[in-house]
Amino acid sequence: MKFYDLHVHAEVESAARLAAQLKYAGIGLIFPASELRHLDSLKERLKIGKECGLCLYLGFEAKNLQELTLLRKYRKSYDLLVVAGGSLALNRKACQTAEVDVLAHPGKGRLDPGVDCVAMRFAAEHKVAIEINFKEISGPNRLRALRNAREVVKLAQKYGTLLLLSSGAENEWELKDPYCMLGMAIQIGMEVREAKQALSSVPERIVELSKEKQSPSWIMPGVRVR
Amino acid sequence: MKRLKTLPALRPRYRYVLFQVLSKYPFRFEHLERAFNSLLLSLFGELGVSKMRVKLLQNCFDEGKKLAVVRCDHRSVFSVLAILGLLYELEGHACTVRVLKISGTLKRTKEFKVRGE
Repeated sequence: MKFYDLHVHAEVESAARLAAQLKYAGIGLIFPASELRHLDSLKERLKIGKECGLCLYLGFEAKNLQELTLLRKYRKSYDLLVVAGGSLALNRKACQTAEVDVLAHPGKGRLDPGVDCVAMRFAAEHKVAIEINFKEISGPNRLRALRNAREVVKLAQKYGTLLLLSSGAENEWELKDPYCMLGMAIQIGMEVREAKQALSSVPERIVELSKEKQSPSWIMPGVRVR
Repeated sequence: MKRLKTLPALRPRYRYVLFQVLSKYPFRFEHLERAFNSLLLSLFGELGVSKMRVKLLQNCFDEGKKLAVVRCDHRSVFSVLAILGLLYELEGHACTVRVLKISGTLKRTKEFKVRGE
């Protein structure tokens, strides 16, 4: 089974080497929206993935609505569009936007999970994956993070939303073994099959959908040139 | 000490998890055990840990290769994996864990360790 981690902020070379050691098939390196200016140099740096024998995906993170608008405009030039959740308005907007691939940590800094049933329905409709971030769970507010993750899992199971497990690593040592993430996912109420999918087939599908969005025939959600 | 007799059907079914700690710095078994036990207690509590029959095996620890084996009940393998995922620091140095093998017998785990796969 191939495992993927689509939310890594760490330095490219060291993260790629450690991810290869942890037997990942691919990782998504996410940069802030301000790095969009250096798109070509970032693409060059990602070529190290071939040396390590894993696929590296380039992604950008929108932290507010302005950044989301900017990143939507250039959606065809990179692999992943991740929205850093936390505010209700941004979470809802991300779930309603088909260009978005992943809504990361929707409950960050909140007492509630950050997504309700309406947002979950929109996310399922627009194929936006909701992320369960391991960094949140291993952080100081573990109790709250576990409770929020449990709520997100319950809602996603009800509405059929894509669930994604990722480390959210900010340096290479925060990358986690896929089996450890699997273990934690089962603790928060996921079935073994669902947890495996959240680490393998869901990320594969996200990358597939993203490639579709990058193709020249794709104009905007629902519009395609034959 | 004489061991108590147990009916074969009541004997616990153990699983052995072989893992490697990836870290730049060396560490001793006591450091790993302290970190592991404190994480276990903080996540599952005393009652939960008592049900898991979990133990870090000192005689299987390899300080050079940073390999260790944890024994647990067959129902609590995923809980042990979750704990290993939370292990991110040993004696103030960053580290991460790589799971190498989950086996039903210690013999197979040791064979895997010797082969160095």
